[in-house]
Amino acid sequence: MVADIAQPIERRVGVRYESVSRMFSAHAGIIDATAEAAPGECLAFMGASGCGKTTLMRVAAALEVPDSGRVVFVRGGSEVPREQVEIGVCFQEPRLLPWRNALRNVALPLELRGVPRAHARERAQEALERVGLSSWGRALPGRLSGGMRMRVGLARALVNRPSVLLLDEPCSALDIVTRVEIEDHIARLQTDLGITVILVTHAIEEAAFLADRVCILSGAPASIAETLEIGHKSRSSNERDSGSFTATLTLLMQSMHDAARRGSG
Amino acid sequence: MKRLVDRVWPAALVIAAIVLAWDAAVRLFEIPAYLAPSPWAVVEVIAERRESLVAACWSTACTSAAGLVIACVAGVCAGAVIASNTLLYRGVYPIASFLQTVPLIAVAPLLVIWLGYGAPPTTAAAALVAVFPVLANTIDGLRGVDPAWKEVFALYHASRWQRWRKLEIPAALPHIVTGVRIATGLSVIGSIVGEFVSGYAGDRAPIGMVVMSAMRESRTDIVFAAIALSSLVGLALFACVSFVGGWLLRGWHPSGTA
Repeated sequence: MVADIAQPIERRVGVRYESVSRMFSAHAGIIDATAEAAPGECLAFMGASGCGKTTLMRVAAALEVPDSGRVVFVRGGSEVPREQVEIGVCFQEPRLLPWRNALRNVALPLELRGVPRAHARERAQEALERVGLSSWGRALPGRLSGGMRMRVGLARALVNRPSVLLLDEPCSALDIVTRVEIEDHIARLQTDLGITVILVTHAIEEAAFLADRVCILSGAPASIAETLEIGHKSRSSNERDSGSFTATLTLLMQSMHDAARRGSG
Repeated sequence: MKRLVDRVWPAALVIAAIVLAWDAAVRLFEIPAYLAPSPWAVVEVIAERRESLVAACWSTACTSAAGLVIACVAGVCAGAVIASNTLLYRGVYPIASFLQTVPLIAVAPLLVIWLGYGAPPTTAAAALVAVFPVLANTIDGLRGVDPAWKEVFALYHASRWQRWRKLEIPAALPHIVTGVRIATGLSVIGSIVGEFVSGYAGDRAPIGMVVMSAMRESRTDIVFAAIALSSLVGLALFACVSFVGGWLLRGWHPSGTA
């Protein structure tokens, strides 16, 4: 099952932010953000609430137009138009349509593209299996727990077999057990499918576990104060118990504090 | 069954209390029958004239239901068109709001002039009075779709038609169902007002005409019987609409059936 959705190395897509600015007022917005996620990597944006992390994700999804700069998608060293890149987005809140059951919610992106209904539902079922909800396809969102709804949202982001996955605080509203479960799911997706992930989060553990590179935002308007490279031995659940993981947490925490101090100073 | 009984008994108790209080008041104050008959006199007259009263109810129910269907189709279609364009919304919606304040009783004679006597003008009167809540709620529902859902559709490059069919109409459905529920009671009122002006006497006379002829004969018991039965017509239509609405919203909206 993994083989048919795994991205071959040459099909993988990288994401590059080139001096992206998007201002909402004199002190709110994001200014001159430059960052890069190589194909198959996870790039995380961290910072205080309201600093503009989500705006960076929305710019990549073309839901927001930057005032200046651009987001470039790169395949095999050359730029590819955004329309040619399959992008999956998992919003902070799952945004499921309450009148559609889980399966039909997941199948929605394919239906909108005109994929025949039976085929779309088959693929939606596969995506639900991938997030561990294979037997919940007929349940309406209202009958699912918060964590399950989040996973349905993740399955919907995956159903079109994206090269780039944009995750906006995917675990912010979840309890610790469900949070770890979903983080493990995302890590497996990265390892198995080679998807490039842009992660927006304010959870240090999440960034330490999933990201290859963390950009810390600070200031008003926000800019990238620091970029940290995270070395992963493996992306398994056991990594959380390792000493290097604890060291990464400490490093991120310290950098966040420094950024906050610089921002307020 | 137990659930149904649990739901019905409080209302049944209130109705029984009102009937008993009404009967007691008629007896205690010796109110003459032409002013207020006792509830038992009303029951008696219903039993006596059941054939003509059932026919009257049926006639009124048919025109009310037809008017309601026309109002639903016209309200949803016009609402969808108006909601789709801001300029149209700004141009047409205030006029529609103004028109709904024109009293139906003043318009009913016009309907007779245009459509003649009998069912066509009463159906038109029912549709006319019922269309606004459907129209207004459709517009509110379509214009109030959660922007977060719209973004999901924008993200996957949904066409205008796909957005309308798969997002806006289902999202607006709870509003539309509420509009239709309000319109149901109004359609019966519209139908009876239409009958006052355009109805016809005889065996198949609708409720509005039964009320008018009973009033002329000072048969208050028949007027009361007609009022009670017209309420039953409204209640039956409302139950049908609530059933369909509850079925459409079942499982995902609080007003849907569990």
